[in-house]
Amino acid sequence: MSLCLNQTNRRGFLAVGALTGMGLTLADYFQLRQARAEQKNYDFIEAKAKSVIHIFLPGGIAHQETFDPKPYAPIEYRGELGSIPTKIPGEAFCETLPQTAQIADKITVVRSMSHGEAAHERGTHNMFTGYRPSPALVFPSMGSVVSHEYGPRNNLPPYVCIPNQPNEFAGTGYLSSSFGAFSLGADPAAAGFTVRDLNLPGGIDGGRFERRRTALEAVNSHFAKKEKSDTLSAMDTFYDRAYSLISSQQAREAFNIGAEPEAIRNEYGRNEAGQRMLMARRLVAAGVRFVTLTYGGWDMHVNITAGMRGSMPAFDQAFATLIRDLDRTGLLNDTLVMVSSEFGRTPKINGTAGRDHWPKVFSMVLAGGGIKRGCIFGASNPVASEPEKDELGPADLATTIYHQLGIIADKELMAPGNRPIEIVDGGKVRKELLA
Amino acid sequence: MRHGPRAAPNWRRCLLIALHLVFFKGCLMNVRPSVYRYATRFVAIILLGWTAGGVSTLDAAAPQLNGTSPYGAQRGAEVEVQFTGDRFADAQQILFYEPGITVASLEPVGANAIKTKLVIAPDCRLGLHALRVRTASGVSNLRTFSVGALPEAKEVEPNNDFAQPQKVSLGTTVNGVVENEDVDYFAVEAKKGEPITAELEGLRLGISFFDPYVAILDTKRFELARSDDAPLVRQDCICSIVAPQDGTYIIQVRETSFAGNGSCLYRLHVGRYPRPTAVLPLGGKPGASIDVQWLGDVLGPRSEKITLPAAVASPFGIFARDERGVSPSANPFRLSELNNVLEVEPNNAFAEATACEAPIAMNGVIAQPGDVDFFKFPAKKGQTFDVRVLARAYGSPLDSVLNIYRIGGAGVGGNDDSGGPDSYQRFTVPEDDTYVVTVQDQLKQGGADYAYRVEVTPVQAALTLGLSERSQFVDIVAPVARGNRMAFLVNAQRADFGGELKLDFKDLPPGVTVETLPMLANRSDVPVLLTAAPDAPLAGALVDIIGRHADPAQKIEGHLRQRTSLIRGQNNIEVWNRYSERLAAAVTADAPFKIEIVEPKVPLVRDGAMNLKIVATRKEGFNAPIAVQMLYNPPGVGSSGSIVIPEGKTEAIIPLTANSAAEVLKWKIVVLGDATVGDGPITVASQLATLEVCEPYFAFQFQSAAAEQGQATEVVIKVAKRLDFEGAAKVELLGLPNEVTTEPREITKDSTELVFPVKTTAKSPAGRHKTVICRAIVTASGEPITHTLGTGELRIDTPLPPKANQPAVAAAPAAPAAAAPPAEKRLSQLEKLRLERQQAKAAKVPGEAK
Repeated sequence: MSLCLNQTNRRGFLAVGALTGMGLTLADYFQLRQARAEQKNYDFIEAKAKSVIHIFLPGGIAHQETFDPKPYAPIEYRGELGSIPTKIPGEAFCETLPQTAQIADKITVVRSMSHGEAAHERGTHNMFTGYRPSPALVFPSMGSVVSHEYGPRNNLPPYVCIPNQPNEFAGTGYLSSSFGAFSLGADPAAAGFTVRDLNLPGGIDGGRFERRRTALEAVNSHFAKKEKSDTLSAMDTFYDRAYSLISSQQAREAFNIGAEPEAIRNEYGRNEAGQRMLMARRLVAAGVRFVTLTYGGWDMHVNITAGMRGSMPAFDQAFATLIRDLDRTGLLNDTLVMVSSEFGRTPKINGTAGRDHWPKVFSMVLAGGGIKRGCIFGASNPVASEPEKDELGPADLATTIYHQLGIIADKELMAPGNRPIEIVDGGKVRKELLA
Repeated sequence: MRHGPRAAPNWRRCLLIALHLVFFKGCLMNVRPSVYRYATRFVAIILLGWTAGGVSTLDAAAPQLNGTSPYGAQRGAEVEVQFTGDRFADAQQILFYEPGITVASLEPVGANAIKTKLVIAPDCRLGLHALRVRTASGVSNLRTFSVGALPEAKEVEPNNDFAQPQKVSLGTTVNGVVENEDVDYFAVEAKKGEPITAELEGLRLGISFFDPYVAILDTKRFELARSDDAPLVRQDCICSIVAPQDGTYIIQVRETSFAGNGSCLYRLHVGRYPRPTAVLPLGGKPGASIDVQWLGDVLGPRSEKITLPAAVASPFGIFARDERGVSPSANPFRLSELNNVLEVEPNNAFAEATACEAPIAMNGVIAQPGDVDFFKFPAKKGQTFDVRVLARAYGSPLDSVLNIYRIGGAGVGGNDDSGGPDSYQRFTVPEDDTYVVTVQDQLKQGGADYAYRVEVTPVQAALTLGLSERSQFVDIVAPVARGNRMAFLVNAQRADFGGELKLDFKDLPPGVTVETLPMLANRSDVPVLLTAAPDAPLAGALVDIIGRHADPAQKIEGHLRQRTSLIRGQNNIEVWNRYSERLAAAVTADAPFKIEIVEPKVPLVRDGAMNLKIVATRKEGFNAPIAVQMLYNPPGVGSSGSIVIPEGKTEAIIPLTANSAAEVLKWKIVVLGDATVGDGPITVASQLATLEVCEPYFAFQFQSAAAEQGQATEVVIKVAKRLDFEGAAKVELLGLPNEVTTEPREITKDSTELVFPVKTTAKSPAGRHKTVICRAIVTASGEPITHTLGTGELRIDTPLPPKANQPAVAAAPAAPAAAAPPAEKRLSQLEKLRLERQQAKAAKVPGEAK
């Protein structure tokens, strides 16, 4: 269909006069009207979660060495790391998560996440969009859909990535670029971290800024007449939002991690994991709807024991602190925290003492925003190779998260070519996860 | 589908751009390109993020040889060569794998260099010579040194201007380097009709992923010959011209895409020497004198009678030489006992096939594009032949396609590639007939040097030995500390035979003894333990490892063929390597620690676990942590790989488990200990200790158990004894859900049933809990034999709400159960259900039962 649109033929030039200015031909117009009429639409439902903090652990983190240890399996399956009891009676985590084990009564651990994509890009796509990758369409990430559905709050970008958009699937997909993420562009853990460009340069006051802006708009409107494209209109949206952000002291302050007391910064950990999660907490507290942050590289094909021992402590400290902090301030009630990865890792330790890609079963964590507390959802089999009960797929996961955000995921958004596409196709709300 | 290319702006960029635009008018046109640039860079970073990782780090690599300066020398010369690397302060010897180069003097210069004087014999074989550095504490990785026939010169910068090339005489080997965007020009003088040949060694020096390019130009900048890659020398270059007139000719050297760097070193051999690119036939019998034809030389083909050596190390090559000189590198040549047959053109059809008798080596050239060569031989029904083409592996441009037919034209088999561009096919003769083998190029190409050899042989058993790497791409060497031990795994590739193998070791360093076992028929590797006497002299040696079939009647023998990976490209694809046929071993200075396995007195059972104790003896003052790891795990056995004897301590436990398919046998295991001593890693081995893997002492059969929340139940396990044991075995029930408790039990060799009374509470989680297992510990000789047996299932139900109209019989079942036979036969879950059903039926009013 999009091919038809791109072809300019004689009939296509017969444009409806009034619509010409919008760049629509007659054919486009009827197609669009038809599509709109057939588009599924739903009103928002009550949102249990006002914001989401999505902690993505890229590379595919091993479920065995985190949330789903198998202490009774042979060493080649269970790995070298031991397990520790948690605040959920009778349930154990791997020894890499001592602090998280202490807040296990506040979170839900899903041990039966499953999909069929063992390549990094494809698995990542599944987890960010709720869709299997398609050669025909790039789907929008959850953050972009939330941005599309709700727009900004308190002059803050609705969707923020820390420190940067982690991968192409965290983008806007078929939606307009104006629903893209605001990336901090720098690591909050770095000394002297600031989000660049939020402040007016020295010597420029508000009045002068406004004059300049008016001048720019004169130039822009000339361009807008000459050319119509998503990029240009997205730019307009961005400028408007950028101006609101620059002009709101309160909004700017959300990005100022330096305003946090030293004790809190230290409690989270003065490292990438800690400061990114702290920044995420600041942002959702200020009104950002969806924060995606990444930490570490978990593609441990080699020496997984050493790799986990190296990378996990910072995550464990930061995540446990984040949950405690959100709970302490009451934010956990309406902030949904999600820890995910593109897949898990092979049941058996490989020849180089690592584990390889394994999407058949893996673990993830949900907390807050109307999700159960102290719950282990689903289970893998005794060697962590397959889901044993309550398998959870990316579509159900995404649908459940949208549901908590008040969005019915069966709603259709308009893709190029006037194709209405469900936010998530065929996913179910998994009530068992909800409090 | 997206509408054309679209820059993807985001909040961050927009802020940046908004400010940019407002305060710096006139930059408007820069917006979109900058957005594109940003996006491209971002994607590149993401991709980098995904491709990074997965590469293992070096271990136990002391000393480390990084290179030599220069990388080669002229034979007959005495040259100063500096070896560079790490941990060289105690360097003692350069170990050469072949004769021809001797070390006149050797002097370490600090830890990172060794100054040597090498004497290169006048009859030293030309080409690459493999070597390692031996220090008092170790043996280095392998590198090569190139020996040439021509006088040597150094590249002198600046030589980047075509108009001002570096002058060299025709007959020089230039040692140079191609930096980034560097082009080196060399000028030679030649008379009309004189050949000028430039062969460059770049990639072959084994330093870096270097793709060189060479061209010969006249003074008017016309390119007379050029070479990027040449099949004979892989990514390196060969190009030749016959000088069209007296004058100056310019040799240009650069990296193919101008992307050189400081490690793109080369040796450019410029001269009049013969440089044929093929030889026909491609092989001959050891010790025989044969006529060969050199093909592909700029002056045309030439015949020569050569005498082949009786026995040499492979890969073997022969050098073209005449009054003009000798080729800088060899043409690969096959030594085998097969008779040769040369193609007789025309042989382009079945009727014209060159006749021969198998077994045979058919030799020929696909001389023109489209040429197909036919050979025929008679064969009897039931004979099996291996038909193997040797072409690309022997430096031929031919990408062979092999076909086998009956003489009438019916196809029997064929192959294009087999582990490389060369073809291989095994076929069993279906009927007595004459069979035809055809060879052609896959792309129907052809040329004067498209030589090939097709070997038609009966199936022959072949044995090749290797050394299993501990770290990927780090080849095994065997430094054995005095009074200490070192272990490694020898692996075997058995082709067309099976059975047990025995290993033999020749030329070990003095004072070193070897301990090994037969390699079982179902195993492809075996541990080998070297022990150095406390008074063994510090010395290095290249050890011959010979594998033989355990049955002497079989007469199957094979040797070590150790691959050293020298250069790898993207995704670690190997582009240059070197095979050596000897293990580099050495007696090294005393190590400050020894390790020993405390040999277990009890077996490790299938589905069981064991703690293997390792004890270290430390020399006084040596407190560093020692990492201990099994050299190998017997099949089905798993072990922890990151156990460390902590600093100052002398013991550690390596947990072992055996799965249900672990092979029952008395295995010999060995543990390696790695520690940092001074500035480098040292590895020592334990003794070979016995680890017996056996069947579990008993088999457990779990019966399903169920209980309502808050009720008690029993988990019943049927016990079938397999091995006798003394006393009682302690059995624990593990993996129970929360709020479910039980007590440990004991069984003896006479037990047939094991019953765990299980209590639940109202909070016990409802559902099917399938992870219930038993840990049973039998104690023998004071050591535990741990079994992990399972899994069973415990179902916990939520109580049903009482039915409003339930008759009073609901409470009745307890009474008949109490009235059950006094034998107290324990009922299975199924039996209980049946009983309940019977009772329910009996309780009904007879009139209702219909």
